[in-house]
This record gives sequence, C-alpha cells and structure tokens, in this order.
Amino acid sequence: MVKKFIFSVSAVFFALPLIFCAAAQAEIQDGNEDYYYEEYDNYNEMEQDYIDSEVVDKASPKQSAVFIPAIILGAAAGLGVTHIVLKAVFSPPAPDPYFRKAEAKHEIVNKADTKIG
Amino acid sequence: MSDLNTKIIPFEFTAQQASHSFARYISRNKLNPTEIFEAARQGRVKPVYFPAFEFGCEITTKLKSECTQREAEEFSAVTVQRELKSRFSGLLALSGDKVDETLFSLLEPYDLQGLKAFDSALAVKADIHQAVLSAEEAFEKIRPEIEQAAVNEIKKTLRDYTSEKTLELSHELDSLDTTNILLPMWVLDCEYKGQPCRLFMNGQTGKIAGVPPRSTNKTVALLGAGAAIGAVIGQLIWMAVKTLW
Repeated sequence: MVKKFIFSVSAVFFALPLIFCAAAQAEIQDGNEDYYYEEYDNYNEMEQDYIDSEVVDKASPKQSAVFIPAIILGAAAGLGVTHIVLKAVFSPPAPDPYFRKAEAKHEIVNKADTKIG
Repeated sequence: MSDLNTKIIPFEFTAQQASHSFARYISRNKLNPTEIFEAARQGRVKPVYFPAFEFGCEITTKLKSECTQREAEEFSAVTVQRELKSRFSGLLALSGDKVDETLFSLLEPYDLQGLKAFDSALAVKADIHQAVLSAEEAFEKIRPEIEQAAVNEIKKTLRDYTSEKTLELSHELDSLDTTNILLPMWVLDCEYKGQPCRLFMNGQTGKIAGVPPRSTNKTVALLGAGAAIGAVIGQLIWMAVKTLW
C-alpha cells in the first residue's frame, strides 16, 4: 500500500509537469513561428535574423506567458488526478448491507443430474 | 416499540467519550471544517436508540438448470435439479428511516450477545426513534439478498459444468423469527454553512460513520499550496531542461 501511495504521488506530480513542459515548449515554438512570420516579409529573412540571434529576446515574454499558466494548470490537474488515484487505491469496498454479521448454514437436501439424450 | 418484547443493547460510552471520539474522527481529515470539530469538542452529541429487527429464518430454494459438461472432445447437456435448505440468524434491518442503510452498514457490527430485555432505566436518557416499517416490510427489504445468498450457495455445486442456464428458480420461506431491538447510537448533529451534517457512532463499539462536508477555505488553500508546489517543481524541471538543451 505504501509503495502504491509513493508511486502514485511521484508519478503524477513528476509526469504531469513534464508533459506540460513539453506541451508548453511546443506551444512556444508554434507561437514563435507565428511571431516570426508577422515580423518578416519572407522566411529567409526571418531565418537569417534568427541565426543572428536577434529574435531571442523578443520571444522571451511570450514564453513565460504560456509557460506559467501551463505549469499551474499542470499542477492543479496533478492534484486532481492524485486525489482520484489515491481514493481508488485506498477506498475500502462497500460492505454488503445485510450480511455483515448474519450467520448462515446451508444444506443440499435434494440433488439430481440427468443427462439429456 | 418500547415494550416487553423489545430487546435493547445498552450504551457502552459516555457523552464525554463520544464527543472525544467524534472530535478525533473529524480532526483526522484536515479538510473538515473547524466548526464541526468545535461542535464535537463542545459535546453537542446526543444518545439515540434506533429501532430495528433481528431476523432468523429458514428458506428452501429449488433450482432447475440446463448445464453442459465436457466429456473427452464432446459436450453433453445435463438437466440439474437442486434443493437447498438455508438457515440464517442475526440478520439486522432497521425499521426507522433516520439512518441510510449504507451508513448503517458502516456502523456495524453490533454484538447481539449484548442484547438485554427492555428496561426503561436503560433507555431513559436517550431518544427513541419511531419505527416506520413493519417486520414484514423490513424483511422484504432484505429478502432479495437472502435469496441471492442461497442461489450462490447452490451454484457452487455447479462449478464442474462448463455452462449453466437457469430454467426454474423458486424460494419458499419455511419459518421466520422476529425480534424487536433497539440499537444505541451517538449522534452529532450540526450545520456547516447552512448544510446539515450528521455523524453517527455505534453506541456499543464506538465505530463512527458519516462524511462531514469539506471546508471551502481549507480546500482552496490546499489546492493553492499544491499548485504552488507543482509550479516550483515545474520551474525546476524547466530550468533543468533549459540548461541541458
């Protein structure tokens, strides 16, 4: 149980921010490409500019604008999923409402097995 | 309900012990509202006797099925008939409507060895809830599960067959013994933001059941703290990724 608990918490808290990092990174790249296309008349001009590393500073504000909400969202989703996982792992099954304490004795008094055909 | 035919289980805990147990139960979950914890700590608990029935019964179950069995490489059909006599004792069913059955199941078990003849001195300091179900109605409530238990028992004898198709199934109640009983429970009745909250404690064993509402403020604070931790971890990962790449 303790191992399951540690595994669930670790997996969720570490995997989700990583996934969101990757998603945020992809978003940043897409955003940056749009940004570049808006700024330049043609791709070659943009590429040359990029090679010259002049656009790095321009892209930075966009990076944090995407990244911080993504991480907060990731952490909130991580908490939600952790809660569901832990609940599923630790919740005891609902007891049978009527046979909690009852005693039962059974006896087969008649038994017949007849082959057909 | 409170007559000479009624049996009663006496309370084993005092109001102070019940309050202490409720307070400890509530404080286990940090998201439970402080108001409810305070209500328990201040001793806002009351003893209540809940009416119930204890049933003992004998039931005969007859089953006729068509089964298949495998012999060498061939399947053959077999008509199977079984008659089972089952005897149940100690079946409890509440006859009031103040406690949900699932909640009641969480408070169980009661030790029925502790049943005593009704004595007004035992019940004088506790409320006694009214029964709303007759013995027949209460038994009908639990009957499907009794019958299912009998069917399950019969089906254990059919495990050697590869398939089973029920053709006829009947149950006959041979005898039914009923005892009116009063079950002791401590009840913590309070409110949180206009929402009623009721927790129950088995007056014989001290087992507690019931789910208090969650504190909104504490939940928001926990989510905030979780989000902050997640953000810090994310930031660290981000910094590591940025450094490595």
